[in-house]
This record gives sequence, structure tokens and C-alpha cells, in this order.
Amino acid sequence: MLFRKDFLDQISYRFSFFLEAGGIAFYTLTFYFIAEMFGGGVPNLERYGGDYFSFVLVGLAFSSFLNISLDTFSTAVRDEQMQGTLEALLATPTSPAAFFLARLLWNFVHSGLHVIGYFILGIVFLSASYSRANASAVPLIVILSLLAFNGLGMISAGFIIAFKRGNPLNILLGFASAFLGGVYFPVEMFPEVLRKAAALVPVTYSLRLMRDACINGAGFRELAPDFIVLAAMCAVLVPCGALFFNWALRRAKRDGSLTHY
Amino acid sequence: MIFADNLEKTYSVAPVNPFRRGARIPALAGATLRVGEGEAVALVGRNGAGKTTLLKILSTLVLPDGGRASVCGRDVAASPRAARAALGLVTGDERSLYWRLTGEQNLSLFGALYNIPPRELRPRVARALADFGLENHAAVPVRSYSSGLRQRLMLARALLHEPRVLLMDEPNRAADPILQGEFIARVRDEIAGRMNRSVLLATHNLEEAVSLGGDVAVIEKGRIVFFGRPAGVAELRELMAGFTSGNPNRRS
Repeated sequence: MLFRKDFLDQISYRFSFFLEAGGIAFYTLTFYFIAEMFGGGVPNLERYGGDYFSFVLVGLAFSSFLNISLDTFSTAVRDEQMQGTLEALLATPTSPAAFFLARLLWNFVHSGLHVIGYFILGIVFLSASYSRANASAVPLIVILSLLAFNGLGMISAGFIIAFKRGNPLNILLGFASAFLGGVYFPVEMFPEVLRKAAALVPVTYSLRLMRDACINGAGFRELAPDFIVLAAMCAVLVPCGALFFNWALRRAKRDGSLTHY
Repeated sequence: MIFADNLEKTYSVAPVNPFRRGARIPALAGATLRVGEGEAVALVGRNGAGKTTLLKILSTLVLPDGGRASVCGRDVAASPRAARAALGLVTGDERSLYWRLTGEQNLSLFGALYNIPPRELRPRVARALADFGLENHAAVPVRSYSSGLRQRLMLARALLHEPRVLLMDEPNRAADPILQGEFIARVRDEIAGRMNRSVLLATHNLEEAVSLGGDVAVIEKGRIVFFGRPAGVAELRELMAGFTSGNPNRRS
């Protein structure tokens, strides 16, 4: 029912559908022409077959998908606060986690459509190629990545509930995923210090796994080291996120600031 | 049904200047109240007297610093989910509805959140829309509703899961005098009277409080200072003036 509500809410803003589709086309074309400028054999991309467009398309599509996990909880809290519906929701016997997870579900479908849009445009109409892709690894990469980002997302939502603004996680991780995680260029290019910093953020592993699976067709044995690190991050981030979110909710109920923004 | 025993609540207010200490504002200072089955009690008090805090604690949206409160025997701090299942909340804030959804979609959504089984949801929503005269507006987005229609929809939403307790925080804030009268009559005659629900209605409109026809609880500086049935609005006004000036001429 919550999924339906988010769907109905989304389609009530009809113009935004065209804006989103236009945004995907604009982004994809921008990076297509940048890739064309470099030509086929880009140094530093040997590991990924040298084609920058195929490389960056995975980064663009998948990072936007992951950022949804990061933003969903905090955006949901903020939206309900601003709309004035948060108290009405929290006065029902449904747990807050359930309706924020439902919001997440809709956002996954919504951002999944974005991913499909990126790949249709890149593969069918432009020159991206994933002919060697190991498709069987993709669902596991998606699930682990989403779990890790949901953990961070719950911490981020906790910041909004407890401190209302100044959510440092979204700023830090937005920067980390775009720069350190290697959305636009391979992490291998970084100097040692930045490479160590990149190793601390989950998006680095998510994108490397996705590119190794989609571009290089790597099997589960080759992907195992990154899978293990990502799974360990999930094991820490998901419970930490849930604990922090519950702490923030209790804090807001104690100081009566649940609906303040 | 509704029970509050010696409730205490003090808010910490963050200072504008971050280098100064925040203020501590007492909202409830030992509030005690009881509303029995089928009773409609009006909670009156001036702005800042503690009405909203008391209702928020009863609806589990704020945690008390001290004291105990329960709804249908369910402790609001220890078993908040069970307490929420037993109560319906109506606020005067029309923004608590989803304006881009229709009336029917709003009721279906909240019905699901109140754990109404899926096969019962549709007939119950249809019945609620009919009961509150909203059938002709069921498919219209709430943003196009008048204040009166939104108020009826909020009441329909609060009663959808058939709670035994109804908490109302200034539900008539946006209503005109005629609508206010109709609303109070409906709460008194149908919801408390025919449906036998326990109602606690917070208001600072003394006429509304007396029209509700039940006991009136006067809250002043976070304490219930009077509980009983004043003869009329004039007596209630006099009582409240006495408590405000610190010279009460009657206490329960």
C-alpha cells in the first residue's frame, strides 16, 4: 500500500517523468562524447578493456542507484516532516522502519528504471558493449551494495531526525561515491593515500565488482575478495544504522522535536 | 480507557546563540486525568498550558519524563505499538493528509498502516466515506477539498480501524462556526454516544468544550486544576480566569 502511495504520488507529477528521462539522455550523451574525444584505447583503463564509455556508463547507472539507498531514508523523513504527515504516520501501529522500507522499495523500482534507461541508451543507441558480462553475479552485487548503503542511509535518516539539518553523511558519501569510489575514473589511478581512502567506502567495492562482472565477465572466484569486504561492511553498517535510527527516534520523542525541521 | 497519572514533561529548547545554555520549559507538571468508556472529555487551557503535550504523550509521539499513561490498559511508553492500535488521533493540521492523493487513497493507505486486513479494507473505506458524506469526493485529490471536507476525512481516518479511544487536538482549528457546531455534535452524539468511544478533545474554545456535553478538564501550567461539569460557558470562563490569576474560586 505504501509502495502504491509512492507510485501514485510520483505519477501525479507528470512533467517530472520527462525531466528525468531528459536528464538520463543528457548525462549519457555528455559522457559518450567525452569518451569519443579520448578514443578507444584509454590508458589506465586496460583492466576494463580500454573503452571509457562502457566503463563510465556502469559508474553513472549504478552510483545513481546506490545513492538512492543512501538518500531514501533521510529524504523520506524530511518529506514527511515538511508535508506534515510524519506524526500521522508515527501515530499508527506500523513501525517506522516498515514505511521507510516501503519507500525504499518504490525508489529501487524507480531508480531501477533509470538504470535500464542508461543501459538502453548506451547499448542500443550508442557504443557501450557488455558482451562478456557475467549476469549471474549482478543480483548478488546489487543486494550486498544496497544493504551496505541502507545501513548508511539509516544513519543519515537518524541525523535528520535527531539534528534536523547538517547531515554530514550525505555530504561525505556523496563526495566519496563520486570521487573516491571511482564513478568517473578508475581508483587505480589514485596516489597511494587516496587509494587507501577509497578502500574505506563501500561504493569502491560495489563499482569494481559491477565493472569486473559486466565488462570483464569475471567469475565468482575472481570476485570473491571484493564480495567478502562488501559483506563485512554490510555486517557492520546494517545493525549500526538500525541502532542509530532507533536512538534518534527516541531522542526526538524525548525532546518533542519529531516534527521539527 | 484513557489514564494519565502524574505526567511530567520538560522540554529543552536549543538557544539561538550556540554558546549559551538552552532554556528548560516545563510543559507538564504532574498532570493526572482519567476518561472512562463512552465518555467525551474536553481538555481546555490557554496556549502553552500543556494540552498538546498531554495528547502527544497519550498518542506515543512524545515520551514523558515522569509519571505513567495508558490507553485501554496499554502503557504508552512500554507498549507504544499496542497503545497506538487502540487509539485514533485527529489533529487540526490539514497537512497531516496526503494532498496529492484522493480521499479514498488516503483512507486506504492509513487503513493498511492500521493493519486492517486487505479483504476488509475496501468495504471499510467505502463505509467510512459514506458515513462522513465523502462518497462524491472519494476520487478527488485532497488538495481540492475544502477545510470542512478535510476535517471530515481526518475524522474518518482516525475511526477507520475502529479504535476505542479518540484523541483530538484542536480539530476545529480551520473550521467555521457552523462546521464547528456540526463537528462537536457528531463527536458527542455519534462517536461517544452511539459508538461508545472514549474521547479526549483538546481545545481553547470554551463554547466547544461545554457543547461536548461531558466533563471538562482545565489544564494550567501542566496540571489538571479542575475536572467536572461547569453549568455553562460563563462559569467555565470564570473558573479559568480564576486559575490564571492564581485566585481560583472552585477546584475539583
